[in-house]
Amino acid sequence: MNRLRQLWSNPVLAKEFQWRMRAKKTPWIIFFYLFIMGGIILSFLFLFKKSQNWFDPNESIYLFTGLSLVQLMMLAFVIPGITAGLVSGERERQTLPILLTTTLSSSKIVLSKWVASLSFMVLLIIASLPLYIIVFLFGGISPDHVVKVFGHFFVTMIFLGSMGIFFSSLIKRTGLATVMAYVTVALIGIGLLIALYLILTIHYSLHPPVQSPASAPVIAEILAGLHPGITLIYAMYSDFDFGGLKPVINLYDFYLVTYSVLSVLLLIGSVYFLSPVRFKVWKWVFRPKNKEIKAS
Amino acid sequence: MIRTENLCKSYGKFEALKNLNLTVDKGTVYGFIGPNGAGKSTTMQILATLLKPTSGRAWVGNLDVVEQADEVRRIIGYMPDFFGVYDNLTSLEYLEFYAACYGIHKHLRRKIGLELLELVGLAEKQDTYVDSLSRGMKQRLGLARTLVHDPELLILDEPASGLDPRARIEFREILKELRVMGKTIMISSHILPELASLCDVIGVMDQGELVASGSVEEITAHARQGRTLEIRVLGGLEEAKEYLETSPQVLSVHLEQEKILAKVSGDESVQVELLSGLVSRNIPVVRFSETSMNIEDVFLQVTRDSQGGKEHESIAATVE
Ligand SMILES: Nc1ncnc2c1ncn2[C@@H]1O[C@H](COP(=O)(O)OP(=O)(O)OP(=O)(O)O)[C@@H](O)[C@H]1O
Ligand SMILES: [Mg+2]
Repeated sequence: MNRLRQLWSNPVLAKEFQWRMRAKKTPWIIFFYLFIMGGIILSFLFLFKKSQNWFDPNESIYLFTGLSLVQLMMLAFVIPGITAGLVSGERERQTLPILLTTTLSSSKIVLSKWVASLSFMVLLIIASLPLYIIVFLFGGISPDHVVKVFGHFFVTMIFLGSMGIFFSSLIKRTGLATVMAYVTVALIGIGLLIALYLILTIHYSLHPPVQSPASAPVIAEILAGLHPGITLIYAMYSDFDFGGLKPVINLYDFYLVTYSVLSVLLLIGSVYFLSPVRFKVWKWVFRPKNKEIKAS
Repeated sequence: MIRTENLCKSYGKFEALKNLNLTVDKGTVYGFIGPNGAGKSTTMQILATLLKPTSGRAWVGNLDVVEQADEVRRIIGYMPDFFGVYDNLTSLEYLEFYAACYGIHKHLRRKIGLELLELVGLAEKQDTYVDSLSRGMKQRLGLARTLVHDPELLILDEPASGLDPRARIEFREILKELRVMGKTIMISSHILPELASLCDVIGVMDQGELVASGSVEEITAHARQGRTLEIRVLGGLEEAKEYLETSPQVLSVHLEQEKILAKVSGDESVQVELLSGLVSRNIPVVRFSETSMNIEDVFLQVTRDSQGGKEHESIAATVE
């Protein structure tokens, strides 16, 4: 708790906030974010309502899932863009050496930049809540769905932010770091889908489905569990399957755990590549251990 | 205050520092000079905990710069040769930001910031955005920044580069003030006169090695040990050069355009001897004088000698 308060009073965090709020492009980012999301969802609604004048709860879930997937894509577009420059930008501006000679630790620098960018993302999501309310008004969405979706957003945001900072810390140039971050996003978003499709096609051709409740190959489940879109759909529909093959593992939980662990690793990696005297990080990682030894 | 022991730094195969042994006492102003690429910035970055040495060790105030980097950062103020500023802060906010980075209490930051702006003569610029300051002002603000946590040691990498002569003088005055305040200052430069009047000790670096160190007088005296004669002849340049090279008292001969620069040992009688020798060989001497060495010549000589490789060991040995 004390640590958290320390982080909040951190000057880098305060400056990031101040900078983000003073920046001229901030209102534009918020505006475009909402404009695109709202545009997609409203045109969707409009087309729906044209064909029938009542709304069935199943379609409401359909809409809710669609809205969440759009939100997910927006996160994937925006977060790498704002995080991939956090450390390398400081390096390019030649302000990093000075920051590193202050008594702020590398981990504090990374964490405060990370928290600042995530706070901004939270702001974007909060700003998009009115769009959700439109969907809620049609009914049929349980609190459970909402919790699951926002849990998913949270972990995805954390992961995307950590990945952006990681590339920013690893690669000296903001441009290249940004490209790498987007390439990773594309690999996860599209690459995984293609791989999954190929694997399932091969699987079907080798083992033509005889009865309905057969299980999918493990590798397909893992790939699906790594895909943000599939796991989100999985969380929304309890009868989810891959065209007749039911997943055995809980894809949603798998996703949350894997990406949380990855985020932690990426953050440690960012600190590692940021600190000038690198093996210091090892001391930092192993410090709790030492304390335990002393205490016992 | 600073001590290094066989400090080495390699970038790939290139050795930027070769077994550097350096000592700077508390309270001294240490001038670090040397030509481009000598390894001054590299040394300073290691001392500022920004670079890990390849081998060897370094201490600042008895703290190891690698093992106790956190503690070292608390007692040093480092100004890099190039540094950027955040464009969205005013001068005062800039100082307050770094004060906060050093964990200085909120109520003290503004006071410290104002005092430092006063010290470096930027008091009236406190509300100006940092990126609209002139280069010299930024440089002064950078110096103020190194002082926010009241460090014992200042490591300033070419702080006076890019300053006009007046600003240089002002900068020197500020440093003098800091010396009076009891700070140890390590300052690098290519320009020796800039440092000469300010520094207690000067270290001359070249190609990753410390080729000379001592007080300004010591270094100048050493370099003058062999006095340099400037000889101009109307003809027979080669012949004159040959004669000078064969005389035992002449240490080295350089040809510089139409002039011969000869470094000789011994007193004035040697000059007489050489002059009569030249004249007796019918060489038309128009000018024969001892050059008075200014501090820039000393610098050139110390570093040039080490490039020749011939004499630098003797220099290092005698000055130490
Ligand atoms: N990051 C680096 N990668 C590779 N070589 C480097 C790096 N930094 C410095 N060097 C090399 O190390 C040598 C010493 O550089 P350094 O910057 O310490 O010199 P300097 O004495 O500060 O020179 P100057 O007076 O030009 O500032 C140079 O030859 C330089 O090319
Ligand atoms: Mg330099």
